[in-house]
Amino acid sequence: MSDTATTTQSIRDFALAVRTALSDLPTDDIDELTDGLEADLTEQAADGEAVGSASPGFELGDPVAYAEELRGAAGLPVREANATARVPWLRRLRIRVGAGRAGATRRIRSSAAGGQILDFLLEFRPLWWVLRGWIVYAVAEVLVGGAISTVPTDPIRWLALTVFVVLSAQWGRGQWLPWRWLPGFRTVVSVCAVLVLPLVLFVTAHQASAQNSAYVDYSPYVTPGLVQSGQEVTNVFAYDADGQPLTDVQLFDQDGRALNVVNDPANTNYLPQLDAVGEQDMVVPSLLVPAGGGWNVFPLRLVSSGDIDYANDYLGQAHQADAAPAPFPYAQVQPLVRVPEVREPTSTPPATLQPEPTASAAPTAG
Amino acid sequence: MDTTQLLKGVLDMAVLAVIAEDDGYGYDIVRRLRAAGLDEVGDASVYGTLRRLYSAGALSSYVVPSDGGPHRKYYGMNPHGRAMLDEQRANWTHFAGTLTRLLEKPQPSVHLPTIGDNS
Repeated sequence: MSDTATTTQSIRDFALAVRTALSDLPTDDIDELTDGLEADLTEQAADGEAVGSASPGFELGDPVAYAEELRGAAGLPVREANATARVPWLRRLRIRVGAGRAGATRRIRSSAAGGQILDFLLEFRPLWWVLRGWIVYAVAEVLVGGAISTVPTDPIRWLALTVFVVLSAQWGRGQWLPWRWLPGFRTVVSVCAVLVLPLVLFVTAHQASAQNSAYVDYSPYVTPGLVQSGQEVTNVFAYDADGQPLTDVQLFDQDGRALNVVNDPANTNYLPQLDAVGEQDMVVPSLLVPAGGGWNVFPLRLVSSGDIDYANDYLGQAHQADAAPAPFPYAQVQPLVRVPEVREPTSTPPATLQPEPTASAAPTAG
Repeated sequence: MDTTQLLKGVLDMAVLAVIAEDDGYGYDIVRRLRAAGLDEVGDASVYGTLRRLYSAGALSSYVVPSDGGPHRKYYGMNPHGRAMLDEQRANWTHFAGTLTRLLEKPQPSVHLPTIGDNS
């Protein structure tokens, strides 16, 4: 029955409120008086249910009056004002928090809508248990693993995460709490988890965006900057009219934009390029552009795979200091030859409108 | 008449008498008292009384682990408790006899003056 969990919680809250009302007594007396109170109340509630509708039902009543009855019957002194100094502060805090929770629960449940909303939210408790397990894993990863990685990266870490989540869920269900101090410890863990939650979420979001930008920046297969026939262009080699290689050629497109081989020249430091044997080299921009972003100055320089630093980043980092001129695909290409002008006898274009001729007439034509 | 007030004076005795039959834990004793006819007994009163009798050395206690539930604190009689119960039983019997005799004594049929008689 779903009522059972609610009853258990309200009994726990009631017992805490009773302890609050007794909080001026020495700890031993409170323990003596209320030890087993939850068990007794639970049994009483079960008795009430067993009798059925004929019974008036199980009513917890007023915890303060209950505490006074306990105290009176036990022959303990009535409550004095400000006599709480004998109770350890941690216990007092626990009692106060518990009483506050009990009071809040009572107030919320006093309206039908409040009760329904509370029941609705209580359905999400398993989600919180999982979240708590994950947060504890993330913190343990920092403390034990030494690395800030909130999402497991290998099977052992996945196993650790699973263990934490299962433990958290079992604690949430009230299981696996063999020692008396464990419920209190669970509360401490929960409070810490709530406090650390924003940080863990922030780190995770940061990691996710770093991962995404890594794909955008370094992976040529997502959105290449320059494409020829569907293939990414990572470098461009220019030869002059005589077929000799040119260096430091600045290229621009039809709109006057720099012809970059990457999408985001200002923020991209290197571009992977596979060499002939499948090793990953890195193309780096020219340093000759004063404001940076020399991704349109060809040929771009190259950092060979052996010089790439994988220490901090599994994608590798290329340093400009290691860059060398990229080898030209051809030492030289064929020199250009002037194409003979084809004369068309029927046309009589006015000489002034002719664009600058690209080639002069060749004697073989016509 | 409100039996709650009466019960207050004799709850110690009732609790001792119930435990004298057999050891029991808190709510178990409440249940037995109610089954015996003391319907109005408050559970907090019983738990407080148990605690007081235990402090006074009239009861012994031990913890019984239960599977699936929390541990139970059982109370049982000790010689001091038995002596206390015997004494209280004697007192009660004497007191109850006295009161019963008082109540059962035929009422003297004296003529009580009523208002307006002397006019």
